[in-house]
Amino acid sequence: MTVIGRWTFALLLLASPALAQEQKILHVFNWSDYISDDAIEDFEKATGIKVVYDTFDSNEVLEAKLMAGKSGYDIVVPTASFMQRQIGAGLFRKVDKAKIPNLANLDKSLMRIVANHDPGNAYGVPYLWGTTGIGYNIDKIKERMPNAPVDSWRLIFDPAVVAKFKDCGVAMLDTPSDVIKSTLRFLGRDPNTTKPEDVKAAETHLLKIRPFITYFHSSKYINDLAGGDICLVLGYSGDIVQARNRASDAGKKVEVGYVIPKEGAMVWFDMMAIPADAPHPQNAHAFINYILTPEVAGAISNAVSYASPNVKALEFVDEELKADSSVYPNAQVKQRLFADKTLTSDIDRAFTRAFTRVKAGK
Amino acid sequence: MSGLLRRLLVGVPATWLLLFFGLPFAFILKVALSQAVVAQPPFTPLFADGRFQGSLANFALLAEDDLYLDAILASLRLAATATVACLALGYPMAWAIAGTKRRWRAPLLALVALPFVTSFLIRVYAWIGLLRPTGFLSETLQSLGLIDGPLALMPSDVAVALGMTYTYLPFMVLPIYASLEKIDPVLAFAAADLGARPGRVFWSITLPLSLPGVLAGSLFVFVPSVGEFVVPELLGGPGTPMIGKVIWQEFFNNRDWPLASALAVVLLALLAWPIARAQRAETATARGLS
Amino acid sequence: MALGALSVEGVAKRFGAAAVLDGLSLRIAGGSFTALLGASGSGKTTLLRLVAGFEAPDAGRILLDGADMDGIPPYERPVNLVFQSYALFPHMSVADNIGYGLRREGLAAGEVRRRVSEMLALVRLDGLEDRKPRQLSGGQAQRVALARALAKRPKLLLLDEPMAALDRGLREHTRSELKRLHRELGTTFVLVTHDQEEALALADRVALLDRGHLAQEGTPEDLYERPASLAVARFVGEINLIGGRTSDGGTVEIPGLGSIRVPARLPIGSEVFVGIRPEKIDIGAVGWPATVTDVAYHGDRSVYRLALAGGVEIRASRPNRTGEQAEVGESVGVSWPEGAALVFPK
Repeated sequence: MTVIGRWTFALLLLASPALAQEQKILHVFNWSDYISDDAIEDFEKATGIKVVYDTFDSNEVLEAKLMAGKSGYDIVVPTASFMQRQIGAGLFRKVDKAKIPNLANLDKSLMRIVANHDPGNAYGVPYLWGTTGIGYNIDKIKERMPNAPVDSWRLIFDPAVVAKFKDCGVAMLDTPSDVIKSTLRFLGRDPNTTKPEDVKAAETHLLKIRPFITYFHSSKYINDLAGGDICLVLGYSGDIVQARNRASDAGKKVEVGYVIPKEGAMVWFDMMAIPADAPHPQNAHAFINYILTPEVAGAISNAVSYASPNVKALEFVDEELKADSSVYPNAQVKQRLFADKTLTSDIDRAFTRAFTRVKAGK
Repeated sequence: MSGLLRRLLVGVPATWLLLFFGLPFAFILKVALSQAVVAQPPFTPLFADGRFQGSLANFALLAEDDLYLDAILASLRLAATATVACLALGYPMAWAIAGTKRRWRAPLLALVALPFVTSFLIRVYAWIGLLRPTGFLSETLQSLGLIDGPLALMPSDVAVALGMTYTYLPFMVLPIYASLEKIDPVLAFAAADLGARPGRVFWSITLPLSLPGVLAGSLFVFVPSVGEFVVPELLGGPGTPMIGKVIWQEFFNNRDWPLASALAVVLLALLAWPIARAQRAETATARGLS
Repeated sequence: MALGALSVEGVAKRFGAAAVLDGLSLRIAGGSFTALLGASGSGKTTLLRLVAGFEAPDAGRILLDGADMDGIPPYERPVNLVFQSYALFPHMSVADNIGYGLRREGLAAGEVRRRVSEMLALVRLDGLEDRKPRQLSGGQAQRVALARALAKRPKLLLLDEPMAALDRGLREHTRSELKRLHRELGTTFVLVTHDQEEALALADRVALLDRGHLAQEGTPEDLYERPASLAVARFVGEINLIGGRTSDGGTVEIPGLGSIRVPARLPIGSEVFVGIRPEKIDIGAVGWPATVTDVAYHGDRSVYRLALAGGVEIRASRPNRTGEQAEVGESVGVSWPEGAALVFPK
């Protein structure tokens, strides 16, 4: 063996986690505003594992990081529709179910839905789920349009309606999938389309309302809605409910509403998964099992106002939240939800291109 | 021995260029010729089944969709605006500094460079505080009764040009100062002696002799401005599709590395042209001056 | 009278606390070739800048052909300057340099071209019009600078140390070129220099400045043979100075040497210096006895150091016509013609 070869071998030995005892460290990459304040601290206390916590606000950015490889994360939280392709690309390692006894706490019917994306629930563990709908400032909308269609996608997609709210600020998620799928639903087309002409139609329609949109961003609308800087947003259920809570916590006279439009809204599931090249997979399993503890899962649901897939956790969820059908939809509301299916790569490309053009206003 | 040393020393910039420009660019070019896939890495290999699989499809797509052409034109336009603004502000500054007493020059130049001690991001954020509709400028003008209603200076192209002008101004001032300072003051006396009024002395002697600095400064402002990402991201709206932002979107939102790489290659080709032109002009002037 | 007469009347100029020119008056005749000679600090460069118009005098007047130059900016004065560093515009060709002043006068392009080629012929640089200054030798650059200044047909041409940047070999040639140009053009040339040899060789009039004052103005011979003061005698050429005291009419008593006859008349009993130029001293069998203490061989001549009685030391310069030299230690006789001795009050 050459000198260089010997050194390389020695370095590999040092760097290889498989050969050494796994370090007491865990890198988590989660959505912004998506966990309770104590969860991480309590996990660290209970296990002695130091957590390095980092956030993102779009599936696309997460996927870009995963595809680049060597992300260094041990836990990531993709949405199930995105995860399907990522599993195909070999980005995740299989979950060792024996190491996660709390898997039994999860809702079986929900696991079957998620299995459409992740056959046999081999790679992902549901974290939270929610819907993509409309958040709005109740007073400002009423002021500008007393008979505003607040139960309908028309509120944001009808150019004649949304034009009235331009002056108080209109925001949209900066994600092609949520925005275009919602648009297609409003247009009466298949949100999970396979036809490029549908994408074109959505683009054409979005360009009509583009002049009234202040910005595209996937996280800052929470504060802006709570602070009264915007009055209308196409956003995520829990984020908008968080905005409502923040407004009342700060004692502001801002009342925020969240609506699942009557035409139907997209339901999605965010999954905990372990990247194939995660440096600390054992710690990752410990973390997943910890999150699935009923008390922890309940606290997280309370903190972020998204629905927990953990049936045992429901007893720890605030009654008020459980009763809110925009967060925990009742059977009637569930009828209006449509599934978030994985797009073919051609359509995915068409989505992103169309969305880029819409944002540029071309 | 000294011959070997000399060859080694010549090798340093060559190695530098190879390591920090040649290899990354070769990688970008390779990605630009491949196709996007959902995989790790997210692009197809250039050689598969013993055959070359590369294609110019990504470049064709760039040409087809006027979004990219618009982004390139918008970037060139904003970068040119920032460059002209930097020149208009920076030349008089450099001229004034070069005209002060020698002991004042170093402190004045230090003042020009002073903003660099603060993080670039923080300085751009400060501009947000000044320009946004609920920001300092808008509120002040409103409270003075000069405007009614908030003044939305950002997000806008004007704010982006302003931000880039602010950011890159020192890069314009310093090279112009350096070239002005090098001009022998006796040349101005000679021109005056030959009948040139002060304005004519400036146009026929000072300005042409400071052109190398103007050229270098314009390049230092224009080239990074074209590919600027942070300023349009923070001060620009979604309607400001500068090429740096579009490349970011292609990489992160669209996860399309090949297209993003193709864009980067086009941008580089676009910038290589003025750099090469400037280089030639520089060589020509240097020949005339030494 | 020819044009280009310069009259400096009581000009004073201070920089801070230092008076660089202190009430200087000087007349330069039109068409003359005058050297402003002086050591550094004598004020000659300041005078040049005042005449060119780059500085304004604190007091006094500068007249050119009777016209007061006060308040007239440099770009309107019929005076041009050849800078010591030549100050050629590096970004312009030779032709554009020479034509620069003409274009400022608003001459038509064809006229500028004609005058430029005329000037190129005058300074014998035909064919170099497209060169850039960096492609010229030192001598060529100097001639371009001359042509550029002369193209304007100034009444007065100022030359600031024009030989300073030239090789020794080129200087001789340049001197004769300058003389030829002066002869051909008839313009007043004012040469500013610290080099007395250059001033004597070139100029027909020399004005010696000393610490802001005019020490003497005259022909080169006046300054060398008849220096008005000890300072002039010391600055122009070499001179032996021997201390003494005047006795009755036309003699000076020197301790150890006795009485020497001198041409000037001074009050009896005053302390004086007797000055003798080294080349005026004869070494032979007659005269004051002296011992050769050193011989420096210069080829065409040798310079001897001679010790006389009473501790007097002098230097004598003799042409080496026969190849015979006095040797160190030799006893010789030293003498000089009666009119050669100059007397200055101490």
